Amino acid sequence: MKNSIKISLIVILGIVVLSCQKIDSFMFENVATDEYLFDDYVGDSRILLDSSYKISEDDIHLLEFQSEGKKIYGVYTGDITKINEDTIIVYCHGNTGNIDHYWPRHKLLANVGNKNRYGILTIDYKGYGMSEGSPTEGGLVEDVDAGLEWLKSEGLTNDRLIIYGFSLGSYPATYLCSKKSGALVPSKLILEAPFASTKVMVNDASKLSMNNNYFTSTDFEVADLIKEVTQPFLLLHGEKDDFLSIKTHGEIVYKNYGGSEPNKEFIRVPTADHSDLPAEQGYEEYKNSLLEFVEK
Amino acid sequence: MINYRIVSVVLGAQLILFSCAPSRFVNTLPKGETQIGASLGGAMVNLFGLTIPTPYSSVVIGHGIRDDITLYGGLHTTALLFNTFQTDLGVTKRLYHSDSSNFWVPDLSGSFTLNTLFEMKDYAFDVFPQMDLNAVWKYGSKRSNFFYIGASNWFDLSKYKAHEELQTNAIIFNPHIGNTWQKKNWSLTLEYKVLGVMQSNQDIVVDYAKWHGNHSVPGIFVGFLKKINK
Repeated sequence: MKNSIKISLIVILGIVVLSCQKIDSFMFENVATDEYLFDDYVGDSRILLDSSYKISEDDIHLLEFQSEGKKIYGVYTGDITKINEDTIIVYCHGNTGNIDHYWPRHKLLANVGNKNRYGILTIDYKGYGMSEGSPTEGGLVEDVDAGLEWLKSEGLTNDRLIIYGFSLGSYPATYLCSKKSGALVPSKLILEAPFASTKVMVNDASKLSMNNNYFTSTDFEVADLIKEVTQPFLLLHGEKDDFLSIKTHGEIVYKNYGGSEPNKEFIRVPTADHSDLPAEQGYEEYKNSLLEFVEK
Repeated sequence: MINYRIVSVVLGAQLILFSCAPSRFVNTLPKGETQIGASLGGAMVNLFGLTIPTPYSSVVIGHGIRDDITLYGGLHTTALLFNTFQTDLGVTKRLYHSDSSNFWVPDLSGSFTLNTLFEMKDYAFDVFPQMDLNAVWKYGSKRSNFFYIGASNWFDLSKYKAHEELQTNAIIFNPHIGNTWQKKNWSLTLEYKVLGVMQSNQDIVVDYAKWHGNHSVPGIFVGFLKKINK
């Protein structure tokens, strides 16, 4: 018996000493690449656009920024010389892939109103696409802010900046609206299928009101950050979202919004799941919804 | 489009926190007997086209302080990998001892367990009480094997969950069925649990198997115990 206990204690002690694992890295399903393929990317995408959405190569600009000492990349579509007068939408993508994966979504935004009516900037967070480093919760904000600094240097002002966060991208988008700590403060916020927080994910999965710290040190507290957001706010969420439930994520974020009632709008798409909202809403209707919100 | 499966499986661990072991000592140990063992298993999740139990593990020790009372403690070793010190400490009381000549009349036992979690980096702490009730039918030449049916009930004492939303899952009811094969110095248990019978399994981050409709999650567990004295 003594030997059994001794061995058990050694094994347990070993596990404790060696363990400091968290699933944080699993929150980011980033895919690195040496080159962006844009329209030539053949990936698992559910946003399929016809050739009318194509962006001229002259209007596609691959950009480099510095974020926390790492080189990161972004793509801007539109005329850079007109950033000092245009309205710009910064698109904060989700946790999977890289810019190529979200390129159809970027093109959709570039076709809101008419082609290139708004400049669109999408940034690959650290560890995504060609960007160096590894993604972290705080790093997402820093990476998007690096893009804002560049836009500011090109003449963009707060009143012409709109920020759009999809899924995990709802965190940096909401953070920058809430904390107003970036190079620019967005004048409007759009969220699609947002996280409420990691704790909600844990509560949903466990059915218990337990802390989220047991397996992850991330918080992604969008539902708290949104309490300090007063900018006009548009939320889009699919009612068939089986990853981030509209009930426990979208509705909580919408309810917690800190601005006035007339400043918020909730578009629920009955047939959409987590990844296909623009397609299920219909591309024209999706674009019109955004146009109406941006122009309001 | 988006492959969330890895995230889902790992987050599945969260549910396994209330289901990462088979029922502990449904049949009480004789006075003075001590057993140690390990268990493996968890909720069934869909992964890469397969449905598999989440491989959660724990070690356990139990000691009969009377013929009808067994104290036990479990340590969840997979949770340790995540810097989380998770234990279940409890007691099983045999409530009814059946006449050994009649197989059809089972023993009855009840257990009370405190499940605690302590995160060693951020100092997060949670405690969830659990009460189990089991009916145990002994069979075999020495009536050493047994089959059991019962239920474990987890209690969430918090009024609120994340973001001050009301916690509506005050009780989580998990019926189970299991069998233990007993040899001289060791035993093997196989248990099937239906986790969260009253809880929806829809629209949550984890892609659990949905064998019983849109509520509950199935779970499969294997446990091994070895006598270390007597």
